[in-house]
Amino acid sequence: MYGRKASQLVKEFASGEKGQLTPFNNDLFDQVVAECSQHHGELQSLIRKMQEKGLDVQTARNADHYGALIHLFSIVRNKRCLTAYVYNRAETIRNLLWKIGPVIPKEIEENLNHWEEEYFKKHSAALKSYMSKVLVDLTVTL
Amino acid sequence: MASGSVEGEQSSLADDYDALISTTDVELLKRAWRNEKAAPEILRFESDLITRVREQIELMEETVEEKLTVGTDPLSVSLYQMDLDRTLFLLRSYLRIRILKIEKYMFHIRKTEELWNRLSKDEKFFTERCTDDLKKHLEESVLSKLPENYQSYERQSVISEEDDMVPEPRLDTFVLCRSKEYLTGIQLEDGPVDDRSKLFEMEPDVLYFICYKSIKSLVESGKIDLL
Repeated sequence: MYGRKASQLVKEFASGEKGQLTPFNNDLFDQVVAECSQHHGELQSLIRKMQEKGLDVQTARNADHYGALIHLFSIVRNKRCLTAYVYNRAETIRNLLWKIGPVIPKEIEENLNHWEEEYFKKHSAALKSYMSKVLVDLTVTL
Repeated sequence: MASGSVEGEQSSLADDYDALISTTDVELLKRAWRNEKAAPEILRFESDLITRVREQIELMEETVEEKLTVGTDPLSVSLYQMDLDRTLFLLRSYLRIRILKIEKYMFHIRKTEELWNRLSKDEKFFTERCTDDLKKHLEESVLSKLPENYQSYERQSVISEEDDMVPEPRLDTFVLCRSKEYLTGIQLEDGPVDDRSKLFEMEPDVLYFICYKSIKSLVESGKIDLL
């Protein structure tokens, strides 16, 4: 909790070889997502506690407030890590497309999750469409 | 003729040649390519230039074809071919550098009017598709699974005061540049705070290493070239 697993996820990506994709870590990813829901539940119950005590949630500064803040920061930190994981893998996928063209070799395809395969195909199509409009093949080795 | 005036004639011919070379489309393309390569953000698309270059490439391809069929000597043909290859290389590289910048900063470019207006029509289509694809990818993989209030791809949460999850290029990187004319009145963005009011000058044809932000508008207006 509190961002620890999320930072593991990011470290896993960062420690991989640049330009290579490790298998998508579905387990860890799902755990971090689950933690977000947990934190959100805790956050909401602390807010409720404050309301029950008759405090103004926006301005009151008691232990509940700071507790809620920690949960908020945890959710946002998790979100940043999860997004960074997916976003940076997507960037690696785009670079792969430039390097090896629109057909993914099987070894790499195994490491992508379902949405990443979709993204690869879509981006490949977008690039192809652009190149056909400008009538220039940009993937020719320069 | 006296030797003085022959030299004078030769040097003025050389000047004319220089002037001619510096304004050919290939030179203009080279310049646009160099600027695009060095600038951290995407620059204005040189629409007219690119149209002319494409026409010239077509012409050159036809010329090479013709020379081949007519049986011109291989050396001449290869010279024409080299010229064609060089121009094609510049065009490809120019377009590719721009596409890579779009891929890197797609959300930022899409939502910043100044940058959006610098794209060609085809680049705009591409950017729209890119942003839609990536947005959908992030939503399906991550964002839809998060609690409400945290599902935006641009902001960390609904409480964020601005779009804090959109990557932007760093405009305060340093670039090597040169001006053709004498320029004054440049406000340096990165000097010590009390010196920031001192205005900087650039002498023509001298290389300078400056913070891009300070000369951004001069690059846009074509007064400064990046290297």
